[in-house]
Amino acid sequence: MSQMESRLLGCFEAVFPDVAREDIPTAAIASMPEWDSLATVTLMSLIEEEFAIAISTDDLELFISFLVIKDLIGEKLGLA
Amino acid sequence: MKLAEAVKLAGTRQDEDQPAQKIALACGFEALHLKTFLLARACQRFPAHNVSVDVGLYGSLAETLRGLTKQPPSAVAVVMEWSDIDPRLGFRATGHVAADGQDILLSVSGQIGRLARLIRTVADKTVVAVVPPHYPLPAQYLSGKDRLGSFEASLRFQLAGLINELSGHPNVRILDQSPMDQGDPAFSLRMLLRAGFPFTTNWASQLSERIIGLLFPQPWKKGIITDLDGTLWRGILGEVGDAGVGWSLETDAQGHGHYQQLLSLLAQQGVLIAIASKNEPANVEQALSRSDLILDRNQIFPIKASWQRKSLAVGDVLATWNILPDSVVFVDDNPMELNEVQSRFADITPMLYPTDDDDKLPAFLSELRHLFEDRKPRDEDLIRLQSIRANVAFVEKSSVSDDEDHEAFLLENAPQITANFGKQGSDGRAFELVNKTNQFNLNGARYQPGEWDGLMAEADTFLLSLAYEDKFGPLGTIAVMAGKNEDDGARILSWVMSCRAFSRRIEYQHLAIVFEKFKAEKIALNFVQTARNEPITAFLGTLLEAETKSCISLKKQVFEDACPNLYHKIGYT
Repeated sequence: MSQMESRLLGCFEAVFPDVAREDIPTAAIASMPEWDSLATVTLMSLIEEEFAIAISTDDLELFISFLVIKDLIGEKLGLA
Repeated sequence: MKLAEAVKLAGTRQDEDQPAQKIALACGFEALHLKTFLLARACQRFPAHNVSVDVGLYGSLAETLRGLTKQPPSAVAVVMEWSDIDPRLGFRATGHVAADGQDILLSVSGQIGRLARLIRTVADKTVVAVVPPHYPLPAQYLSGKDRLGSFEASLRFQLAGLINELSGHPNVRILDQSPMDQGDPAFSLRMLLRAGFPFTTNWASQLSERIIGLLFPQPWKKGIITDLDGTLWRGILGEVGDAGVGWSLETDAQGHGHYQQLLSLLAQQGVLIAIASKNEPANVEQALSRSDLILDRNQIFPIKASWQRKSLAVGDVLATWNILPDSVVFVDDNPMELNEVQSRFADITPMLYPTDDDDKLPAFLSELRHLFEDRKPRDEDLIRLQSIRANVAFVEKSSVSDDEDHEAFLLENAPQITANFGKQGSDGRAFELVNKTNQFNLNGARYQPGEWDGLMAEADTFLLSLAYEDKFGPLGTIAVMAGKNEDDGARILSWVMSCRAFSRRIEYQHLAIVFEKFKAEKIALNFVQTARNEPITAFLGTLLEAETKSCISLKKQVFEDACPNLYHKIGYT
């Protein structure tokens, strides 16, 4: 697991404390009832704080799973 | 505090068996990160409590406040936006607005009145922090660049009226936002439009810290020990004489005048002021008797002028006041003196007087002011210094007498106690004593205004306040006991006595009155040993052979066997 993935995992853990760490890489909005709009906004703010990046409204539509968000951050950090 | 840390802290499972600390966040926006930060900071502040932050109805501050008037929590934070005053003033609503905005100004007046009434009603029952609207109005309401237009001026005038009115309520604390104005932006339109939350994450963090500070302030300081040369005045007294020291514009020493002015104001509010100076006592007396001194000579006690180490003088002052170093600020212009005093009294608050830099003076004076409670003087404040002087005379006389003489001494003092079972207390004095007394304090419990009022409203609760006076002078209301009248006796929930009242057997009389009043055969005391309540622990040790522990039961016979002769004349009000 890359350092970026590990930091993203920490953000997910903070927002979804009841989800096991090993399940987070497969986390997706469709299968998690606790992933509501408030969780999305909190996750967004945590990611902005953790990676010092800005998430736009268009980006927010991609907040549907750990993997998609990981790719989005990779792009913004120039890692993709 | 970072959001990640706050989310983690706020998500920590809490022990439901711990006492509850309920905070309400009243706002019209989506509370989101502000709720998280508030909860996290409250959890840090009250680690032994079950802390919760409840938010009200989205979009309706007034309705949320109305709900809180019925069931007030421990504390309430009201965070206002312009849209709470009129939705058209917010960014989430659009609609027709008359060019001069008169229709808005008309509705604003009524809504401000409603909010004022609701906040006052909530504040009658609990402590309320109010955050006035902070972020800018939408551009359509603004005037030319750098120009305050008539519409915005009218709006701000009405808002200032609301703030002015609420600031007079003893339970309302208005957030002064001016120290927050610099630095990071507060407002985030992106977050407001996306999530209904109007603040940047960083500002929400800062705001939560200040709200918790307003709702639950750190214990206030009680006294200031000040140096003289280069601090209370400009100049070295021993070199220039009493006529040569100054504190005015003419002597290029106006800053010292402002310092004296602040000390004088604090003294009027009951703060103790003493002097610790390396000087000849006679010279000091001469200088302090100057008629243009702004700080009244009578507001200072004691004055310790000598060539001894400063820490010895400070120790003498603390002994005279009979208060702990952590309640005291020591001000000196010499860093070495501050260090020397702090090496002996680690808990004292040292403050360096900026004698050579007037630009640093405003921050110094503000910092000093903020360590002391800002409130109207009470009767006790007016006699506090007098009673400390009387106490010195009492202790001096008391210490030279042997056991037999001591009994005669106590009798000759003609001690009088006035007992008051009124639950309203005397002008808030009972509530104040319970919340600030450390040494003779049964368990260290502190109360929020709402909690205290709730306790007093219970039918089986009693409050017994004692005022004391003897031939040395009055001490005012110096002891308070709150308890419950139970079937098999009385239970004491809170019991405090001012340290000025030690050595007069008032604590024995306090218990004796309760035994008598309730015809009790035993009194249960909710005792908890704290880091600072050694005096009451020692007192209870004289009554009970067993080691003092929590929830002590004191039988009447045991008390009577241990109780010394009491010479107080008792009166009731």
